[in-house]
Amino acid sequence: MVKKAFLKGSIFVIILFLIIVTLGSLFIIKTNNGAKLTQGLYTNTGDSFDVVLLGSSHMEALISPNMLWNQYGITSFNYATGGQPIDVTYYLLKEVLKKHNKPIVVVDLYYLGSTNKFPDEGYTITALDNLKLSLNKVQAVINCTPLKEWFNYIFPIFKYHDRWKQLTKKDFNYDTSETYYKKGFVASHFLYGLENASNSSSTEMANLPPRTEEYLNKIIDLSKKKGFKLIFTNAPHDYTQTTGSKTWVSQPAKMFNKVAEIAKKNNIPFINYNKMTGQMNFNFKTDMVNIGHLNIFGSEIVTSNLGKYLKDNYGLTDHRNDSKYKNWNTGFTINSRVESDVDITNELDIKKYVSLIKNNDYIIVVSSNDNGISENIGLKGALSQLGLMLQSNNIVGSNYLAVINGGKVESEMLNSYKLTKTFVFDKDINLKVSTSSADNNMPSIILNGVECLNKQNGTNIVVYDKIIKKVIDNIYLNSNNTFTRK
Amino acid sequence: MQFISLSFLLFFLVISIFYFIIPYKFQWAWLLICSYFFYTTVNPKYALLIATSTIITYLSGLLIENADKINNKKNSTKLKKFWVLASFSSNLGILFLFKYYNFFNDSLTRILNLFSISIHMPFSKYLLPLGISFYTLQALSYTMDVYRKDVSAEKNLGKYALFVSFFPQVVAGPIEKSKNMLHQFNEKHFFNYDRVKNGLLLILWGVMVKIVIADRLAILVKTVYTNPNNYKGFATIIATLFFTFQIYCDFLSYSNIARGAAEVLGFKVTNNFRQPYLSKSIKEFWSCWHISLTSWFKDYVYFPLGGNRRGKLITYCNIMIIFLVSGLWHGATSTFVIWGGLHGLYQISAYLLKPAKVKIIKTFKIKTKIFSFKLLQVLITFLLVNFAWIFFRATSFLNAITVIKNIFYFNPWVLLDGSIFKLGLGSFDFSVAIIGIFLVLTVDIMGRTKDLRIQLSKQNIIFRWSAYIGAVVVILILGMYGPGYSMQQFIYSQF
Repeated sequence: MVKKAFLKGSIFVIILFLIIVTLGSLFIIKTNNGAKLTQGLYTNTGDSFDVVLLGSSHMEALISPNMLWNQYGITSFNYATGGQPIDVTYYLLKEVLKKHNKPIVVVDLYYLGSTNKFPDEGYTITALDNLKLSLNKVQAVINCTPLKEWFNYIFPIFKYHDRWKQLTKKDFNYDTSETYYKKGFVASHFLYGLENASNSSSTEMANLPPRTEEYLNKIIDLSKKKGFKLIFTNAPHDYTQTTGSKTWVSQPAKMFNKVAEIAKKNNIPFINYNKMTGQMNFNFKTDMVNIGHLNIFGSEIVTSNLGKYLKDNYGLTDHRNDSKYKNWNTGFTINSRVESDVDITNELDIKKYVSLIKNNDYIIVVSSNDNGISENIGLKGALSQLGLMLQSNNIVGSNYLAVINGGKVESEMLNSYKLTKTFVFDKDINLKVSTSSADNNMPSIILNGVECLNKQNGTNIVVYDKIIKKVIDNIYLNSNNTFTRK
Repeated sequence: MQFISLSFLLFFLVISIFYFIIPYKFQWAWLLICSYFFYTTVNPKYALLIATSTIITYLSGLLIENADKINNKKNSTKLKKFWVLASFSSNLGILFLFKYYNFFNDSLTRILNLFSISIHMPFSKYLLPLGISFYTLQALSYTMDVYRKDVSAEKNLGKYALFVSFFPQVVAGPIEKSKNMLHQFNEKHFFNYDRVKNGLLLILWGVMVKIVIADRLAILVKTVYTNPNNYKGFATIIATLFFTFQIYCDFLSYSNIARGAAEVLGFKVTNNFRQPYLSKSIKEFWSCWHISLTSWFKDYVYFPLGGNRRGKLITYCNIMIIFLVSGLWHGATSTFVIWGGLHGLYQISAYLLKPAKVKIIKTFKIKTKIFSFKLLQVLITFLLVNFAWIFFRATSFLNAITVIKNIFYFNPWVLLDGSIFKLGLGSFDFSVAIIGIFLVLTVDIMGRTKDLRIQLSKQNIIFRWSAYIGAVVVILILGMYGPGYSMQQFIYSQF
């Protein structure tokens, strides 16, 4: 009887365990961090990256794998996540090494300054929630999170179960590969505009917090044990950011001098970019997005520098002309395209906006129910750059519809009654444009069956990029041409 | 340690495994250690109180039995009564000190104030010891049972201490009489697959009813009853209806977990509920609601007072006494006393109106055996019980009056314009709450004629396992636990 009970009980527990694990992955919040860690850890293991980049958000915006590829033919992936503590980095590195054989590991050490035993949960979950259940994950949870949270981290369903009423199609069918072209890199196009207020030139040393020093040593030991090459970096940032913080070392500049000493002792390169800004012509005002993070322009400078360093010192093979790596060229093209589209999504002036979207690779759709559209001089003037007239044989109306494909005006209509028209471009782009939707009488633009608009009264513009096959922007304007984005 | 927690799950797993591994002669000792450990996880100091009650009633049993051996019948009875009195007064004294002193103090001060007499007695700062109302009654049942010779005095203090502190029941019952429970600690309990499975099923159902239904209902109830002035009409009606099911689900859950845990270990504990909201009269309701308490009061208070054998007036008085005491047992506030009093009034009214009811039925030739008549009886009983719960849940007498006033406000549009979903439960959670209520009622209706656990065990394995796993998944997903929730205490664990 006991044997029967044990057997049945074990089967029951195993089934339950599998259900709990499956539910956990369904219920965790689907974030870009989750997507990129899945890409880098589990779905693109065949790429076997030459270089893997780890750290916090400082690393996330520091090195662009696409640029490393384009300039040096080096394959790499940026595993950094916002606020990632150094202990989490250690376990994440162990997870990376499960599937990637002896890559060069570049770790940014910004978070060595943290004196918190356990940082904000919000920072830890971005990494740990997205690790598959394994012994390494359990060890990470036990060592990086408070005891009362262990169960929630190991079985996320216990933490996220209340999302049952918020689950969407995305949760069931999350395409983590969609953003793989970024290779984990994230940087803004905005400029900081301020100088660095801190002084990095000190040669004095200050101790590291014991816990972060312990994990720094663990990473060093791991490199020796597993035989991979390790490089430490310190991304440019203003040390005054953490001045007065109770959870940060008081003298980060001096702490990094100590890090340099530890690295030297272990024969590990430590590139302190904070001390190299002059040498790299790095302008804090224009190459940072805020006090702590690089923008896209700053990352171009540092990536270029690191690429050269890797090429000069590690003899990495240039894969650019290797047909096995052609997907990297495709990824680079898409990434470049997306980066150039970013300026469009940041623009708030209609005249400048129209000049940016005037591109033969775009399909531009305008749908409006604005009474005063034909009198809107500013809008008229801007849209005229695209070849649109905003008038129709002296008819004054509030329903306006225009479609431009590859620079050619396919249709332009203005009338007092509701307008609806369908288009098919390049065989697979189905477009249905209406100035007054059937459900709530607002402009509607449906692309391949999906509504692009948030359905707002006024003038709505949707821009579709045919190269990356995505809607890159949708806006609506009120009668003063003020922008609102979905 | 909360009943519904991972720590209790682990605790129970360890207890059960060791219980079946260790030799029979140590089983009671193991359970006693675990029971005291369970109790001390809440407040170690109060373990001294339960130990005190245990020792007093244990000694009372021995002393009563010794007194019984005195040849002089008169002296023997006198001494036995003395020991009963000593046991009751000391145990009830402790209960009074910890539970009723402040209520008594406040009431006395108010009454004396009416006569312009001002007194200042210090208020007690002690917290109510966990389960004191339950284990006190359970321990006193032993004194009475020995006095009545229903049981012999237990010589083994350890086994007796286990009877008083048995961990599944110690916090909120069921209140077992010594004649039902004590002998079970001398029985051998072996591992039995079907019994263990049935016990676990009862625990599973208990957990589901608590954290999916009761704790969900509690949110809306709390919103309205915390600020009753802010809500009117259907909002108040729904909150009151929800509380009616909240308290049932909450207490049913505790009782089922307690019964299930005891059953796993081989003990039979009283079933506290028998479909109470399907009762056709208040009298029937009380034979189906908190059965162990009703039975205790009937056995140890109502019958000693004379029951219904001393004329109608005395019977009505006895009924009223029982319900007022029952109300006071639940809590040391006037609202609980009124709640008890209302139920007493309901029952007395039913007796008084019975001739009129019979006459009406006869005059109008009303069929009483048909479904519609029985349904009407169930609905009327439910409404009366529901009305009384207002006093049970309201935080003060004035708030209860406010709730009653606000019920009589006609605003059906709140059910249609989405206002009802702004009382703490959004539309999804509200729907789950309603489905949960229907589920409990369905199980109750089905459970009237059949033992559902036996019915389930007759089904194919795929159906059975789907039901078990489905229940766990429902608990996992829809349970009100984890970040953002503070686990609701069992209502009855506060009495």
